[in-house]
Amino acid sequence: MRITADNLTLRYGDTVALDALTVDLPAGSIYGLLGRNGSGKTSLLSLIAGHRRPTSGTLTVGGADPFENAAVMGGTAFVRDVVDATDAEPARAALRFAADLRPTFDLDYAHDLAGQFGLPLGKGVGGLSRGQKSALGVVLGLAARTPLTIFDEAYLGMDAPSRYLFYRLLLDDYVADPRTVILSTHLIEEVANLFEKVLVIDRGRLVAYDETDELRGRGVTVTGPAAAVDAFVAGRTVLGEQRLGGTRAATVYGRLDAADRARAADAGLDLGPVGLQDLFVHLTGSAAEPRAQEAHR
Amino acid sequence: MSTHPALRVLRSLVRVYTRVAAWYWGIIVAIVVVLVAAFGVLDEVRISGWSSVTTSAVKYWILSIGVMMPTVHLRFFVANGITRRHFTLGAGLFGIVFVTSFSLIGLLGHAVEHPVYAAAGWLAQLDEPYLVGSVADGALYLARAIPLHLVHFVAGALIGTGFYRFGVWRGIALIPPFAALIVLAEVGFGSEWNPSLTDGPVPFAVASLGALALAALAGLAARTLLATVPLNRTTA
Amino acid sequence: MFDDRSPIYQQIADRIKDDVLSGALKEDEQVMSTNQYAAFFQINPATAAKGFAQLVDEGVLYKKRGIGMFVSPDARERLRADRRSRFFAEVVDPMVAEARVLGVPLDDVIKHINGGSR
Repeated sequence: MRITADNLTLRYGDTVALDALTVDLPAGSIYGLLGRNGSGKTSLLSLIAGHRRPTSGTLTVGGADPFENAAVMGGTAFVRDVVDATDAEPARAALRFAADLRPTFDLDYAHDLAGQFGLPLGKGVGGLSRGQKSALGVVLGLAARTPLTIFDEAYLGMDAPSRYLFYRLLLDDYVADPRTVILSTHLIEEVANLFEKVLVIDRGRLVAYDETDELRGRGVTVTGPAAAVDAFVAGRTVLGEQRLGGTRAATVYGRLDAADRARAADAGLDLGPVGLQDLFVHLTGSAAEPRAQEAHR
Repeated sequence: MSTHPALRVLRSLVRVYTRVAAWYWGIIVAIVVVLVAAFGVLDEVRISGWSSVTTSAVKYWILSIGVMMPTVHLRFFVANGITRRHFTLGAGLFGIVFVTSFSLIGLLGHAVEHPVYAAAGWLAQLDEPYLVGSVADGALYLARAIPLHLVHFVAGALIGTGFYRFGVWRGIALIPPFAALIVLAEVGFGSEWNPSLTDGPVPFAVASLGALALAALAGLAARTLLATVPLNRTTA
Repeated sequence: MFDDRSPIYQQIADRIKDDVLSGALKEDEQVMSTNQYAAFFQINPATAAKGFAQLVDEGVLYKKRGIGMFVSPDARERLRADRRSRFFAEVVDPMVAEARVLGVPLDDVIKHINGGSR
């Protein structure tokens, strides 16, 4: 389902969780939503899932306001970091419950997934470990087979093998049945290959939104004599910098063309790529924040 | 296949509570049997064991389940793609099914206990006349129990809604006005003070229909308050 | 598998080109579908599709409608010619420059290449 947000704003009292966010997510992709704790990720996802209403601005999911829209909410699975299942009931009951409520829910698939995660289905949800609760959330999200499936840091407490199993299951299911998936995460390097597009939000604002491949290599480190680096980066968006004696290393946001690269070589500057994780850290680091926002304007 | 969402809500709640209710009634029956047997051995049976154990216990249990509708259950349903309006409709249907079946079980208990008391010769030594002694009494019993229990369920749902929507402190402040609905319905029947079914301060039909209307209005109020409520991260 | 410092679709295209050059992929041989590729390498299918599309644009692969993608008959030759043309600029020149910086005589380098040293 296509998601559009226009000047979307959400305030809790004096706190601004989302600040006039505007974005358009076409249907049928896996999106990565990156942002630090408290950046507004969960707020945005809660609005999309119809868990709450925006303070101002507009949001459409599949062309309609999701809040209290039965078709949209029924077509959305939102797996939060808190598991929405009764603690006292066994995990099996949570699967049954979802199957009762969602016409799209695939109970056999859910049991298959639970088996792959080694989930003790007979155990009460309250007695599951953090990782097992997360696995239960993932199972519920995948088996819902909804046109829009949202995982909000759904991997919390999962060990690495379980996380990779999650990524593999998600991709396999997506290949078999393409739909719109949003996955919020901190662990960028683990999952970046799964994302067709990545959104980076910081302090309730969108600081980057592009194809994952476009963002790779969007950041460049320029290293060399301070004066030469200063001259080269003048007029560019500098996300961060380090100095060691007369040497300066600046992280620049923006793709360099061949002429830029030739100019850098002539000036005796070294250019190096910046990985997604580093780029994310630079884009959302507080020191770089004012300039990082300019980058997207 | 594509059952109405409110009916899916109803079905799920029935599934959740059937087992719980079976335990509940199992314990109630056990308590009544032990009490009546003990007093029977002493030949001191002066009240209906079933009446005295169930009357208040059932009401408060229904009240507490009403409280749990918004505070515990709402988020599980919304998380599974159900709108608040479909949830409140389904929970209302569940309230009717749940309350009616509890009232019927209450009646059934009397229907089983009455012949036992009659056979043991205890009916004559009761402090008050036995509550349900005939089919007509049974009809009156249901006409009182169902509306009264519904008011308890809905008042519980309103109290829970107060907590869920307005937070703990304002939720506590809202308990008295919502609990007043229960007092109002009880006073209409004169129930806690008056052992007879029909001797309330207002005509029985007025009390019965009035309680039903009260439950309906309070139910609509809860539905309206929940229709725009943001989903909390956890329970109330 | 893939690093996150350059576009994955580019790395996919390069990987397949390497396979064609080395002969691991024969001419007119069918290559994996984008979905198979995505599932195997755990990458987004759209990203894989982009890499394959680039190879089709460059003439390395060709499509048979409804069947899949195949290695072009002249792909290997074209890739070799292309890499050969860049070989001296991209491989030999930097090596010579490095040898000069280190003071390694070019004769030694040539001897090494001919298998004379070590």
